[in-house]
Amino acid sequence: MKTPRELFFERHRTAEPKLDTLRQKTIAGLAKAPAVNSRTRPSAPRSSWRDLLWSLRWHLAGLSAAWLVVLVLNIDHSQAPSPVLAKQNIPSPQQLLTALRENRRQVLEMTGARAVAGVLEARPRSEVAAAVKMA
Amino acid sequence: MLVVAEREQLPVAQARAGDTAAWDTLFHRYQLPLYVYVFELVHDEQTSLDIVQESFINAARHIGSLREDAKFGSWLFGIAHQKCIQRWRKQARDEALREELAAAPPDFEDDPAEFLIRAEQEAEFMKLLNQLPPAQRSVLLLHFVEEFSLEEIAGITGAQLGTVKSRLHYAKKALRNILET
Repeated sequence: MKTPRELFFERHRTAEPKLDTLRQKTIAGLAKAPAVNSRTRPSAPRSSWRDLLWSLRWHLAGLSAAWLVVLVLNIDHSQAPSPVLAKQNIPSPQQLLTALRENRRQVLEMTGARAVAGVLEARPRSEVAAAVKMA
Repeated sequence: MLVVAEREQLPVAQARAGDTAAWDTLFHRYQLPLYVYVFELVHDEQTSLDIVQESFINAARHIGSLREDAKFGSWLFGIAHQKCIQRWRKQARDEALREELAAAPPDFEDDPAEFLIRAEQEAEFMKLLNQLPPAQRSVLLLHFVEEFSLEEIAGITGAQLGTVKSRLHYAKKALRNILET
């Protein structure tokens, strides 16, 4: 004599190896995704938020892509030198002339060619003419 | 007397915390009863295995929605039951499941051991069980396989308590007729 439970279990005992395999596969899947076993209970609002976000996934992906494009464009823009900054870097002609004179003076000092320096030195035309008269 | 899930010390709390060994213990405990229940409803081995696996995965995924750890067994069977119904709906065979018995629920002895089946009656018992409407069969299986209480069976199947009582009464009556012959 058997109880119905015993009868059922006996009839399906042959399925146990398959059930063992199935269980091991499921456990292996759980081990790979431990987040599934969260201790926290998913409340209804959280679930609905998840559903909402899921339904908007393509919109959110599009917006993210747009923001990325904007970011990339901004980075490129900042890397290129601005025209204002470029202008500021170019020295004025006066500065160039002053630097050139200073450079020449130093060269002459180093070579000791003081006499020649006087001739070579650029003077106003009126001073040059007075010097020629005196000579 | 059978030891049912609610009286056992099952590692539900550990499983809730993500302990895979605890899940293994739980699945091992319920794999055969769950398979028996599902198979006797859907009568297809592969479908039954699929439903058992899906039920395990869903249980692991939604363990947070289980309010009382002691109710793990009936909760797991409830998941499997819903999956069976989904299969039936897919196959457009839910008419029989929807049948409701109008008769007032009579009182009955709530003792699964009242049915003792002789070897020569086994085939007849299984044949009769398969002839029962799915709703009655479901209630009877839950009663026999896991000794779930009427309230638990109502929770698992989503039926009214009175409906569960009625279904179980008529299913048992039909079986008793066979076993007494």
